[in-house]
Amino acid sequence: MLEVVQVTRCFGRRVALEQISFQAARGDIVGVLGPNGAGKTTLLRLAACYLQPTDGVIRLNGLDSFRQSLDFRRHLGYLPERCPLYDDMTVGEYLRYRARLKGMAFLKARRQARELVEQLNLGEMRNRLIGSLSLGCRRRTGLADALLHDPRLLLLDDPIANVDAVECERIVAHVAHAARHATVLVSGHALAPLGALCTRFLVLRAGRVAADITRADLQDDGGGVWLVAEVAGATEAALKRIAALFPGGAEARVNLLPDGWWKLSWATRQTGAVRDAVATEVARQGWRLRSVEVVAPSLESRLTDLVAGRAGAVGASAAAKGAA
Amino acid sequence: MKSVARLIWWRDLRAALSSVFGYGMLAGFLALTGWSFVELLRRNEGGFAAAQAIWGMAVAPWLPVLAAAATMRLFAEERQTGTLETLLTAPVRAQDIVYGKFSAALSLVSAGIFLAVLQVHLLRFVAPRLDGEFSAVGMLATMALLFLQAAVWTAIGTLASLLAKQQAIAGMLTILCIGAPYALQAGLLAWIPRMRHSAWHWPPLEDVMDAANGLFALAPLVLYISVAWCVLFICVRLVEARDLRTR
Repeated sequence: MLEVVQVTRCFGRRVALEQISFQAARGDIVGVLGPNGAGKTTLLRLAACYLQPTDGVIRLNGLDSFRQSLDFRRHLGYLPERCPLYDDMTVGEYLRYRARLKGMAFLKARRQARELVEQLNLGEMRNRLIGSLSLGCRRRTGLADALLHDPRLLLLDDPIANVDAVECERIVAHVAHAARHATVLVSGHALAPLGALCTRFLVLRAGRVAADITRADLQDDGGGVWLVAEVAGATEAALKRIAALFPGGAEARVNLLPDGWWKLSWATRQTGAVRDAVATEVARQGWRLRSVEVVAPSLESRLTDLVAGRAGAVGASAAAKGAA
Repeated sequence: MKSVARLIWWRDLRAALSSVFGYGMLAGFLALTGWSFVELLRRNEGGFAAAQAIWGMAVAPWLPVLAAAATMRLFAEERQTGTLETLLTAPVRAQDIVYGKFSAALSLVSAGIFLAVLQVHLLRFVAPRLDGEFSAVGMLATMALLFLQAAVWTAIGTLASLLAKQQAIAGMLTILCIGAPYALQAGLLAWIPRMRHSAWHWPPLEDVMDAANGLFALAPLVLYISVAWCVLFICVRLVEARDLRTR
């Protein structure tokens, strides 16, 4: 069980994290989301004992990250954002070195390194210098390092950044496998893979928890849908004005499509009636309407709303839960 | 040495010796000490200085430079590449990290001293005119004192590497830290009329000459050991102070 209690971290006068509190149980995969500078990396570094909280406590199974740092780190697997590795070592050497560093006996370190090399499909890379590996292979090597000692807390800072879809799938599968015995905190910007992986989402904004919601709650969040209309002959301002006449339309998004048509969309809970009313209103204004449809948002778009802080039909209750 | 410190020692030594820089550093040190030795011999021709004292005087001034080069990558490079983050989040005690890295750098500097011994014997072999009376005991005493000095300079270099963000700055900081106290001392003595003649004496060099001539005083030994120990203690405390990790 990971407990983060009222954690604040300041860098000089700048407050990077303020009064963060949450708990995560074994088996939880918590996606730490948020815009750049929200404090995701700082939170992971605090949980990894790399930084010391200015205030508050982080505990793992009762071990304090500061007072019992060494014992805490024995149960920790951490993959930093930049995936730093020793370029002058081969994959096999590096993993054996790290396993020994984590307290494993010589033979066990060799065996564990070999097993992880096989599990993470690094067999062909075992004798290659890390400096010559592709980014995806480097990430898998870093992940293997984090998983070496079967950690109880796995912290992954943007593990799928700049990797192709195949690598991404592999990494997600390994993290999901590792999460059977561990609490996982994973941050990142690629919302689709994270959405598929995580059981829970912690959204940070400006150093505070903006939302803390499970995937199930997010998917069943009030049944909100999007009304999407494609219109020509109008202006952006006029479209926004018209949209504001309908429920939820005050926060409508207007995008210009490549073919010159405007795409008008907003979150709403009313469907059929609003769709007909929009069609009528567009015709009354003398604009052309190509389509008007009701779309159920994907998990990715729900997450995008959460991260962007758009309190639409979907995000509002999540944000409210987070604030509560 | 504990097994974790030994692992870090092995890793850092290997990193230094798997780069051109490591060999270049040792080659440069040997070139400078060899040149200094020949030059000092030439100047002392007909003099009474013991050969091992001349050798010690040729090696001692370049040891801080070698120590600076050997230590500047210890922490500064790890910080630059980000590997310090993975090292410090591994279940490793701060003292194991510091002692492992310090030992790796000291091993390199010690290798430089041993190679300089080999070099001087090689020079005697290829140039018989350089032949002098080398006392084996005097030579061992000189080497022991040089080793103690190397430990101090390496500890200071480790601290500089911990404080600096970049390797080059760490190297310069080491030279500055070693040179500044003596420059200050020389500056102050130059103002005192009766002490002016000793302003340009570098105490570590005098200690080496004493050792080469069989005069092993306890004070410099205690000083070197305690300074190295204190500096390493500061390094351990700094690694433990996690606020420094964000530098």
